[in-house]
Amino acid sequence: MNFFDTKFDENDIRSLVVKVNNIGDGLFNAQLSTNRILNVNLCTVDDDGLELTSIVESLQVLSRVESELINYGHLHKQNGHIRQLNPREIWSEICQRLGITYVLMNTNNSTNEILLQDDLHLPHFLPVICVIRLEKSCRIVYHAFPHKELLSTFALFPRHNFSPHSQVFNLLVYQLIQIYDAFASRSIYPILSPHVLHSDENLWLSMGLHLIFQKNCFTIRRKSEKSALKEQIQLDPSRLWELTDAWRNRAISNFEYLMKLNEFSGHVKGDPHRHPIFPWISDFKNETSLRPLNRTKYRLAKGDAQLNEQYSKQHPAHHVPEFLSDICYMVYRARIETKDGLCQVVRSQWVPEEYPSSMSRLYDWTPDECTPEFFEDPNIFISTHPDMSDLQLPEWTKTPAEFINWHKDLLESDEISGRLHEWIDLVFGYLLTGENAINALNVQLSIVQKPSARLRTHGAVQLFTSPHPKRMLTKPAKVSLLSHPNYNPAYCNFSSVQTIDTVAEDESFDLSGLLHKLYTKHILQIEGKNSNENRSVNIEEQVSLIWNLVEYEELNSLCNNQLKRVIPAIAKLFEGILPGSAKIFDRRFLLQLSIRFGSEIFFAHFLPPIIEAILSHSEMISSVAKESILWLARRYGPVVTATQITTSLLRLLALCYSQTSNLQPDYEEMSLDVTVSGDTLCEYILDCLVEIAVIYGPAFITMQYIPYCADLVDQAIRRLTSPLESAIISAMLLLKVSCDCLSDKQIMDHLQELIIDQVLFPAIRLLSSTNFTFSSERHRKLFTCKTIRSLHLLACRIGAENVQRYMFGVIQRLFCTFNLVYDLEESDHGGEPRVLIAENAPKQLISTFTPGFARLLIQIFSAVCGRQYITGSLPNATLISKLASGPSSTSFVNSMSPSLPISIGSPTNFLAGFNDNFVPFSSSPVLSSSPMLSSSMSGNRLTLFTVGAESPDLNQGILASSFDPTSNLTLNQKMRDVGLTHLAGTWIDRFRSALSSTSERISFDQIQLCTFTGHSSTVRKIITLDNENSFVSASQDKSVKLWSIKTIEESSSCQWTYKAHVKPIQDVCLLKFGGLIASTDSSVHIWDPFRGSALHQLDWPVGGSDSSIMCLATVNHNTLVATSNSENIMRLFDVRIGQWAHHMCAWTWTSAASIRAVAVSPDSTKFAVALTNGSTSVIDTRTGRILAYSVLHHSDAIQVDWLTNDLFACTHTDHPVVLWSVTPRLRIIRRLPEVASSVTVCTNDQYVTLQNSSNRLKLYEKEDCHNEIKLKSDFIAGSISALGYLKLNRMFLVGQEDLEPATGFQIFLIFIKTATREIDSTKILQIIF
Amino acid sequence: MNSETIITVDNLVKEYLVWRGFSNSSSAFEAECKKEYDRKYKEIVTSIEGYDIERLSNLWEFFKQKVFSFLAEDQQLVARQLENDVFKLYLVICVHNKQRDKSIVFFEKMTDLVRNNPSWNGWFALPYLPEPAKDEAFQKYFSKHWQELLLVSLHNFLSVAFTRMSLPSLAIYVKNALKAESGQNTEIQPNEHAYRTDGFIVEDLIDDFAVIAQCSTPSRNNQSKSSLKTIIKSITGKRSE
Repeated sequence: MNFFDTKFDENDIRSLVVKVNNIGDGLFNAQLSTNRILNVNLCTVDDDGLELTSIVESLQVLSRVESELINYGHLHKQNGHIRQLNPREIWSEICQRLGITYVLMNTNNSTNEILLQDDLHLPHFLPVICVIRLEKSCRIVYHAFPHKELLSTFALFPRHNFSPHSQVFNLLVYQLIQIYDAFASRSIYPILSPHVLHSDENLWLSMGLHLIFQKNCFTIRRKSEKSALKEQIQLDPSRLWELTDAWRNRAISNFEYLMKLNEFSGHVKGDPHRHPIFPWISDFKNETSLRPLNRTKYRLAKGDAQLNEQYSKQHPAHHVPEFLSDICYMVYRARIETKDGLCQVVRSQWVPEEYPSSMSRLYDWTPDECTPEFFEDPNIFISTHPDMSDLQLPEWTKTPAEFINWHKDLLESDEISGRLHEWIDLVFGYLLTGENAINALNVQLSIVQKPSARLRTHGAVQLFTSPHPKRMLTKPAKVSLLSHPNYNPAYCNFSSVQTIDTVAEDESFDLSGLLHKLYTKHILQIEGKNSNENRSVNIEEQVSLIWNLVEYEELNSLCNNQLKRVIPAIAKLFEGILPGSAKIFDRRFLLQLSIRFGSEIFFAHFLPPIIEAILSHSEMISSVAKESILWLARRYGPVVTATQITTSLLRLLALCYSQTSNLQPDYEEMSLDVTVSGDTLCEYILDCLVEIAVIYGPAFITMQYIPYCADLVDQAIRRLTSPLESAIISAMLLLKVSCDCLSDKQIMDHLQELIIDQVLFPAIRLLSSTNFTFSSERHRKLFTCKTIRSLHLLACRIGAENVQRYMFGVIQRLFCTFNLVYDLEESDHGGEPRVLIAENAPKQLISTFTPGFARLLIQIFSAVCGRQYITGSLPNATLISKLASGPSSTSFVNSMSPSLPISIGSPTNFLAGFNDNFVPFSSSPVLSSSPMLSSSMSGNRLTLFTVGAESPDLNQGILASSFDPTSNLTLNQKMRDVGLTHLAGTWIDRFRSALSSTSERISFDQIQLCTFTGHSSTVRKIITLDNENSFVSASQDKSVKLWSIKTIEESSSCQWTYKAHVKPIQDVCLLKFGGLIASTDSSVHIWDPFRGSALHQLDWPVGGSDSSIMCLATVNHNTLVATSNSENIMRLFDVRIGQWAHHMCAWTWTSAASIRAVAVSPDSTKFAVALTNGSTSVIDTRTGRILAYSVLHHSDAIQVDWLTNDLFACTHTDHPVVLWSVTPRLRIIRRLPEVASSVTVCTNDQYVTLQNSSNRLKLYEKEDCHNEIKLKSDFIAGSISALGYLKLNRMFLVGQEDLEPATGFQIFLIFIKTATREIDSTKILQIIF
Repeated sequence: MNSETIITVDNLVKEYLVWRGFSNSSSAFEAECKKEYDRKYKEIVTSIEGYDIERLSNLWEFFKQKVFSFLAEDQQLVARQLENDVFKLYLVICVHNKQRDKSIVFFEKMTDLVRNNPSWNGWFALPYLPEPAKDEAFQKYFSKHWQELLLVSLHNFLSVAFTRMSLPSLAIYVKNALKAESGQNTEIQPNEHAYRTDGFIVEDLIDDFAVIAQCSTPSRNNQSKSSLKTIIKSITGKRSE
């Protein structure tokens, strides 16, 4: 039946609509009213996304243009408003324009309206009977048409199907124009793709209307819609490269991506000839064995030999017939395919046993790739044939579902993800064609076959012509500097443009932007604004900015000068302590800061605010700060801790009571328990000090804390100022805590000389003397209270006998003071004497030395030594007893009641003692409450009295305060528990001398601190890290070793050895703030000490094998300068890009000289170079300009060292050391008298020369030698070969020369303490010699 | 990467020259390819030695435009100083070798440079001085020392400047092409080497190198352990030790 002849009237349409009402899409035979049978094809188009299709968009654009035109002509149609058309309007419009009958349905599926149109048949349009508009969709009723391929299928194989030069192609173009014309003449302008066009085997095109409304048809998107759309659909599925990107970035899974690739290749599920292809990923031998993905399964199955054979014999020459044959497809699916289908494709006879029984058998049998079923469909394993067994699973999976899960997980695993691109290259990629295909043994039959008459619809499709990008491995969460210390991938893509930003500013990478951000936006803002509210907001911002800046590599890109400019900004942040800034006190941040800026700057600028932060009002900040301080103390070692951290803490401690508000006591009366608000502040700092003492041991207490107290008291005695008053109050607290920390033996060792003579006695003198006037009574009282408290504690601690022996002077002094205040007036009538206040008694003393105070003292010391002893030995016992018992003071009861041991023992006795006028030498045992004490008294022998050790309960009862006798033991116990890190041996000597040092001058005391054993030959060079707890040594034994300096050890072995060198090490230097090490044995190795991996290995780029790199120096943290033994050229190496950058000549290359030594000035602006011909030149690092040149001096230079930025020293093998000055011109300013093997710079103007033959060191300040030392042979047997200096610690590292290389004698690195006491140099010389 | 690019570009240029039939250029090019690395510098020296002011000024102009413009400000300052010095050297060489006409041509040619340039004051007289090398003002420039100093500085400066310069367009194309060709090799694999210190917590870094090895256990007797007996002894008895 020719349907072109058919005409439909409204009735036909109505009956048709009713017929198709409940029928799904597809072919359908409809019987019309006139008994006509009509074959129709039904297609449903959803409204969803309709407005995004190009055809609809073209309609809308058009209607907009129309309405605008109308407006312009003052014709009103829709008020001129541009309106989105709704789907109903769209459909009716389209039907109208295309001349299609349009049926509008009601919600109850009854026909509402029929717009009958003459069936206009357009060429290349599948003939439509009508369009039925439902509520949310449309149904298009076509005349029946056979199944047709899409044009896109043919388009996948253009070489076979239509070549651009053929007539076929012209025909195609012609047809396309026809279609467009048909649309355009009806004012519809869709964008067509091969996916919407059907094509028969003659490439005759026909277009189904429903296809144009499909979503994957191209869409025009206006900008606004695009962004709205972005949220819905992350990626446009019609663009392969977007998918590839998404896959690379792990936005879609391997499975999804492979499915997409299959879709793009025209593979459709269920078609045996073009079923989706998946890789086999496991060979099912065991759970972890993988299939190699860089070869096709066919190649794996057949072997290379057979493939090559096939290739040479077959015509056309090919390796692989196809990736997935229909046979394999059917066999894979044997369990679920029909028997007939299997017999038809696989083998005509039905032998179920012939089908592989298990996964591993299947894998071994098949030469083809896998299918997606094995990754998603558990049903494929279960046989639907009664006579065929299920497909056996590998043993590690029990159920099909389990297998699918395992298989799919494996597909998504990192191993497969990392190599899947190789397989994609083979199956969809560049390895399908050309030379690449031949090399990969991957020439596909379908690709090389001659085009046949029939159109090709299946075969291999090449989607990528260049290698497929690799999938990114699991994303690194956060690139922090230390997890990634040396590798910044950003640098890799830099061309050489940026390679030499040695010192200049504002010109390295994105720096200007960064600095701009830093300065203008944040820092300047802060400086400008002072209002607190704004500040807190900004500070938070700033903190995070700085934090990020430091955490990531960015500070690395700053050069020195820029770094310095950031210092004030960061320091300012530390000062404005606000809750939001707790983060920057964190040690992670401080670590970065100290590494970037160097320890010296760190201590100078950042440490003080961190220490002050302990007293911050915010609990969080002070605890963070405290933690950080302890961490710093551990990191930098005892000497630095003592000189930098604890001194600051002590200084801060002295300020705790400086504000009057901090002095306000709780109550006025003298008591041991007076507390003021300053105590809390004090507490924090004391905590810190104790913790540090816990780390490094009692040396801190006896050598620093207590001497500090002594010093303060001493100063106060000389001149009592208000700051000193508050300082000595805190000193008394410190003394108490210090004593708590010490063990009994340690206390006894220091009791007389240090504690009593230097601290306590002067303190008592201060508080009791009339010569000193405190700024207020309050100060004096508080000081007195705190002093007595410490005294009390100590007395309890050392026991009666020791109190009597050592402390009595102190006690007497205390009691005698009452004589100054009170006069004992003998009563005339022989009765009891009366106590009167002396006429000229100083007012402050009167208010301090109250009767209550006398009572307190009596009580305290009676508790310790026994009352009898106290009263018996006091010269003014009568006065005191009178005072103590006198009821004159109203506060008497108040002050006594909380402290009297009422509840324990026999309090009545005790009280009685006071109440009955205190009879000296009373026979009644006064403190009978304590059995121990009474026994000691009755025995009248040595008292063994360790408070708290034996009977804490009893003592607690007696002692007249809240003093907790166990506290001293807990602290002391704590000290002992962590005793492993305590200073010991020579370290204590070193520590003492470090504390007593007052001069800047480096002196020398021969104390061996630690021996580092490990090298088997001469140590060539020692380099210390900036934090001075680690160093690097290079030796002739071909190894570079890394060491840690530990104060707990007297001998130490190395932490790690770099062994990749093959010759003796010539030179070594640090890069990137110590994060990288460059060492040379003739070729340079740049390696990462923290990962122990080499980054670069480089040889001198030109010249023969005799060109070896001898000398290295760091220009800045990522540029290295190297010189060879054969040329007078310096080459610069940039670590960031891993290439030699440029080179510089030290002098004219016509001279045959080569470079002997090179050094970079401290500000890294100048090179100083010594050449073999004896000349010396100074070269600008940035421009290569020869700044100065001096001809022929001595040709035997071995080393150049910069002393300052314009002074350098040149050492020679046979000539004395020469000092060169650069400004105003290069000249020799001095020749040192000795021939030295090296010059080591210590501080700015101080340096040390080493004569290694005699092991003599000469210490210079500026140009004057102030000390000369010969190293004792006790600890260094051979001669010194290398010297290193620890600036902050003021210690030397000494490397030894090998005496007998044959024996492989071990090499010692020895610390030599530098003592810096103020002794004139002649004296030192005497001491040394 | 870079050297590979350069070799490829060289080959491309050679190919091109042969294809166009520029045989002279081709052979000259090949000859020059074989020479040592300081070609740019050598060219300046040869043009000075050959009294070829045209070539020298063109060359310098080219450097100024294409090379020195990439430099930082302080480096450009040096470039300007070198410019003066190089042309002074040229003039000095002319005068020294009694090429008076050449030196006059120099002033004609280089008017832009020398006019209103204080550092050239007095130099106009140079060709006419009877014994210029003995003249106090010019003595320095005739010294071998100054000339060597200048040449080495020039050489070093050019080396620095050319490193800073971006690659010529042709080389960039080739480089990109090579990069695309080598495809996945551009992929950065930062974590090739396994981190030896797995599980180590960075924050607790106290001793930088202690990280990389297990600390050797301290081998010191714990001296602080003292029995009660010794405490008693020490308190009661000798205080000294």
